[in-house]
Amino acid sequence: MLFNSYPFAIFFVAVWLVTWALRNTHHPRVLWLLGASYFFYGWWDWRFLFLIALSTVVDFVIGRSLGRTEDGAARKRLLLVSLVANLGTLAFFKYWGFFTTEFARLLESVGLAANLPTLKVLLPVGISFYTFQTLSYTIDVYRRRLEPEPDLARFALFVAFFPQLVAGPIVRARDLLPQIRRKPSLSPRQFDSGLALIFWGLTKKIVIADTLGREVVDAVWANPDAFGGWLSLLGIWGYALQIYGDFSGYSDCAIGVARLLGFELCENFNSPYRATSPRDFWRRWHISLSTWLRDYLYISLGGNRGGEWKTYRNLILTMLLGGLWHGASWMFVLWGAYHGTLLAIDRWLNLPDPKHLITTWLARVLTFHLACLGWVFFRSESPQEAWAVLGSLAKPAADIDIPTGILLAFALGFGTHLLPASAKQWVRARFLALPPFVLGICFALALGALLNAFSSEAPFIYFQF
Amino acid sequence: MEGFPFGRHGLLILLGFLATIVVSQALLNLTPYRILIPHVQSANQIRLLAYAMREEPVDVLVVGSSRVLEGIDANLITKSMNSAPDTAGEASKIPVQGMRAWTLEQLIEQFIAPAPPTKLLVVGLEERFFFVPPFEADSTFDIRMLGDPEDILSVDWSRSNWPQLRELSLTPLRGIQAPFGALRVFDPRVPEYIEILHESRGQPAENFKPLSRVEFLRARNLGDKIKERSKTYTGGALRTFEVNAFKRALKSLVGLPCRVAFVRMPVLESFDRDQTAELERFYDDIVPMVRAAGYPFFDMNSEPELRLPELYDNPSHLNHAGRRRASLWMAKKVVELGLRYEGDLGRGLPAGAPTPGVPPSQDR
Repeated sequence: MLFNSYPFAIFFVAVWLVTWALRNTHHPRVLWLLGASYFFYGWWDWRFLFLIALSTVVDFVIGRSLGRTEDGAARKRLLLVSLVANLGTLAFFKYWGFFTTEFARLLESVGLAANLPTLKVLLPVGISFYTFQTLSYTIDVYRRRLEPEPDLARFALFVAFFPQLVAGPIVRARDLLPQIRRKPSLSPRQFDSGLALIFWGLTKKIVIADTLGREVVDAVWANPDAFGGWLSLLGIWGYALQIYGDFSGYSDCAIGVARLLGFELCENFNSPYRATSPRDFWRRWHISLSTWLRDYLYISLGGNRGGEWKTYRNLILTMLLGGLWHGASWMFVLWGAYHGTLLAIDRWLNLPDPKHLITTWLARVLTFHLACLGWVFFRSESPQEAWAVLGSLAKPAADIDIPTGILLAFALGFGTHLLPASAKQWVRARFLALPPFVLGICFALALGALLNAFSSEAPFIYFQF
Repeated sequence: MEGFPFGRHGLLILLGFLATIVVSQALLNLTPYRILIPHVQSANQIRLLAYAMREEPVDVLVVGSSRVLEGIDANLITKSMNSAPDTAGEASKIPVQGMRAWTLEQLIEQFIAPAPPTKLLVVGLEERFFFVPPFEADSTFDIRMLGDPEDILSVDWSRSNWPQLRELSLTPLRGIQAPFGALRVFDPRVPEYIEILHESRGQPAENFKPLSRVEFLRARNLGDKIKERSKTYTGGALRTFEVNAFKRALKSLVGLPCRVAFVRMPVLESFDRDQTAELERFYDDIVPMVRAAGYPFFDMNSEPELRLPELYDNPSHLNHAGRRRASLWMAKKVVELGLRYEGDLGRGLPAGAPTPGVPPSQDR
């Protein structure tokens, strides 16, 4: 069930009404939201429900056991069980086919017959997201930063909370569980901002991401030589804006939907293409993943505690695994390694933040194009495809008229980044200060614009990760 | 109502939202029709709409598949007709790419019967109407039409599928979409649409009448039905179905107040050699059916001058030069004959009229 689909609109209105009708209850409300979340998840494939339920029970039991024992060795064993169960499940469903194929290829390359068992494994939607979410819970309990949750229903809702279940943001238990425990409330301002976020997220998805993806990116990647020069560059910029609009649009919808239900989720994007360095980029892009990787992987690997070279190694390794988290493909690994290397170089150079307007914009343009180079590998299915796209930049551009709709999508995509944070804040504040009747008019017109731009229920890119 | 967001504030938002929808819906009737042309539309659909949008009935109408689309220039036929006072009038065409016998039946029933040509209907009949190669399917209509809220009341819900219901339920939101449709005026594809409309109608653009909701609905429903049917195509298994549809189409032609003629558009000989069995069935079963119903059948493939390889873009579609030659041939042999004959209206030409078409089995 996609946020940009008709069934979701019906589903959400029903869930919203019943949730607020149950606002004075605790368990019925939690159970209702849990049931709704499982219904939402089962809409894709009901078989996935067993997996999420199993993952939930395993981490709930391990969390409780960790809370009951002070024995260091036993705690380590429990943590290990959680890691094996979660990462094992993730590895099996996401990477089994990839690793068996690659291992067979390796064996064949040294002249050995490879007859490995191959399974057609269905990738459960959002498994990467909820696995990281449950892992963070167990690790936080192990590190004694969080008390284990005593109520299975509440914990299950934390794992399966539908607004962020399939594509994040990756919420920490210490942020979400307290909100599940308390009675929800929603001020008129939160209501307005939640609705506005949903509309804004859908606009990013439908107007920016889907338009550029359908009209520009797919065409350029399908036949880069037919475009060439600045048109190919436009295709690469288009993908940078597509993946931003798609993913940050989903995050905005998730935050807006959660807010309307009385929950606050963490911010996941902060104008990433305004970043002035690779480090700054990762502070702005997929914030919930980058902070997760920092807290649970980079620091576990030793962080910057083992000297310069170990820091570089940890950075590259963290980003490489972060790349692999996106999917079972060498291109994601390459993309992760590329960003790890950029972060290591950034750290080695240790340049101060630019102070002047010109140097700031030069740094932004450079960082944006470094990110774009990474996106070429991220989008391509093979190195050859990536080289073909990059190679087409050197060829003369074809004579093609660009439709107005595409120009508008580019303008909107870049416009969201060009505006300084203070200006965005001003616009947001002015919008939310409008009389409610006028807000209703604005929402109706926004819906009209979305329906107008809507051509198909294109799935969100990050659902596959 | 502590903690519940839907107090006065929420009601005012809802009121503003609903008021915008109602007012924009009321203003919609003032919107120029061009803005209402949905941007996701196939050329087929536009051609159907273009026909439905005609102010005046056409004199000669040619219907058929992509072979008619590529092979007939209606303006050239009009020009040829106007060279003689007794045949003066206007010709137009409705090509539906991927046409089958069943599509023809639907087309006659839903578009031609309500607005028939005044003098002659020429049907481009093909063997492929009855034999669908396994690799082919009709995905010719990509319809995303906006109906009117009142349409909801006239819908047979039990016979509607999910996409139809979904679309109909969105019809009250048509008004709030309209202002954004105005942006399409700047879309470089708009002139293309207008050109198709113009070409299909053979008239200046300002003579278009606004699209009515009935016409929208008719085109949308036909598109949906064709889409549904296309899912069932499997090789030659549908032949009986298509033949039955064609029989019904022949019956429905009887009620038209114009003459009717059938033609088989020219193809390359190599194209025919690849479908000998299908052609034999076509000439043995279908063509006699046409003649038995009293309609003349003209086979353009019996004209060697129309089978020259340089006249073709591909084995079954004419190029520009071929289109010119085929259109003139049709104007001379079919239209003139059809228009000048002083006989029984509505039944085409009688059996005694000259038979211009000769089946390839006799001709080869």
